[in-house]
Amino acid sequence: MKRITQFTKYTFIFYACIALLYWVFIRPIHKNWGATSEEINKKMPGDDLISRDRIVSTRAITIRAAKEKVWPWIAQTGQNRGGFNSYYWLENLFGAKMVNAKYIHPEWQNPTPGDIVYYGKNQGYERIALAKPNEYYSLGGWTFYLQEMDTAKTRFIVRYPSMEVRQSKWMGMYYYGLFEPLHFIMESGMMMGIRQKSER
Amino acid sequence: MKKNKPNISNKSVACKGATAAVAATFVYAVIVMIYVIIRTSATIYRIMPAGERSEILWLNGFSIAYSVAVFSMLMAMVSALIGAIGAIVLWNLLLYFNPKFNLQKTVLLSFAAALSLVTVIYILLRAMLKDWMTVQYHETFIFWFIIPAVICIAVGLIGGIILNKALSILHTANCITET
Repeated sequence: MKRITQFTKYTFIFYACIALLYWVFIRPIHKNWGATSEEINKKMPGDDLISRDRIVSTRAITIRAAKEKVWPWIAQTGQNRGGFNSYYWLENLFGAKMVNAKYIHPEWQNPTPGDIVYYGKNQGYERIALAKPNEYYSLGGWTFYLQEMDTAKTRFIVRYPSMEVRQSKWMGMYYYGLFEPLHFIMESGMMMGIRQKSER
Repeated sequence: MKKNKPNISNKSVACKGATAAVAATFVYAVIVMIYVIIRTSATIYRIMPAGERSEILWLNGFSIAYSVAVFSMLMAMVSALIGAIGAIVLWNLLLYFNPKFNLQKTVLLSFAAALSLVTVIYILLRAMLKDWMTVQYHETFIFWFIIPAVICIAVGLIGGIILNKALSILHTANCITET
């Protein structure tokens, strides 16, 4: 019993250390992972959809492919389409029933404002707010933006507005404690997944 | 039977059960944490070129560790309650059905109690989570069903053996005092 109590105590200390390191070093970097200060302050198409009560993150990655090669993967985003190109097995742990498409599907290449995009099977969904082929795509303020660097290089910038965390203490606790780090894991996974598929 | 009832309060047994259940939750959390970190890191390693890899590996690893830690702290509160109730149930089962402190009987009773507890938890989870809790995928089956069941049964067996040992020691002490 002594060993069990000790194990619990040490795990608790380990968790406290992780939380401290996360808040001091990790969170300030992952909030705007890969983005330059210019990109963080840049006005993007979906910005008008974001209310002041939200915490906004801007993340970016360089893809060695023309934006016309990146766009098809963004266009077919969604559980009811070609998946989110992230860690599908992690999403499926929570019953999302996610399948990441291996190929470009012509039937999903024309996302139109108002179309429903599911985050998981019978789970939450969002309507496409904005979509301009080879330029940008926005799901209620979660905006994917493509910026041409040269004919064979694209900057993929993703801006995400949190839920309205400043309105409620409980919402804030849920957001900072669980949602924000999990969203970073999945969003960065998606960005890397799109990069991998576009560069093939 | 009443004569042999050891001088340990239900509160003390409940506390020990709660501690064991919290420890089990932490074991489960650490398994999940290690698995998710290794698997996501392998994907990152495959996709990202050497120069861009280290930062995202650190960010990803710590974000996983942090979210699993928070989640397991929340789960620890629930499992402490389940552990406390489970320990009291097991304690009383051992008291009334195993008065001679037979080890085989202890293992059998502990296994039955742990298995019943796992079944009740699954039925409750299934009722609450419905489609979210699925055995359709490999990982889901292992992480929602297999590992928690193995840990719960292991804790039940170890807890039962510890309780039985405590009962037998107290019984011997009582006998010595009486003589």
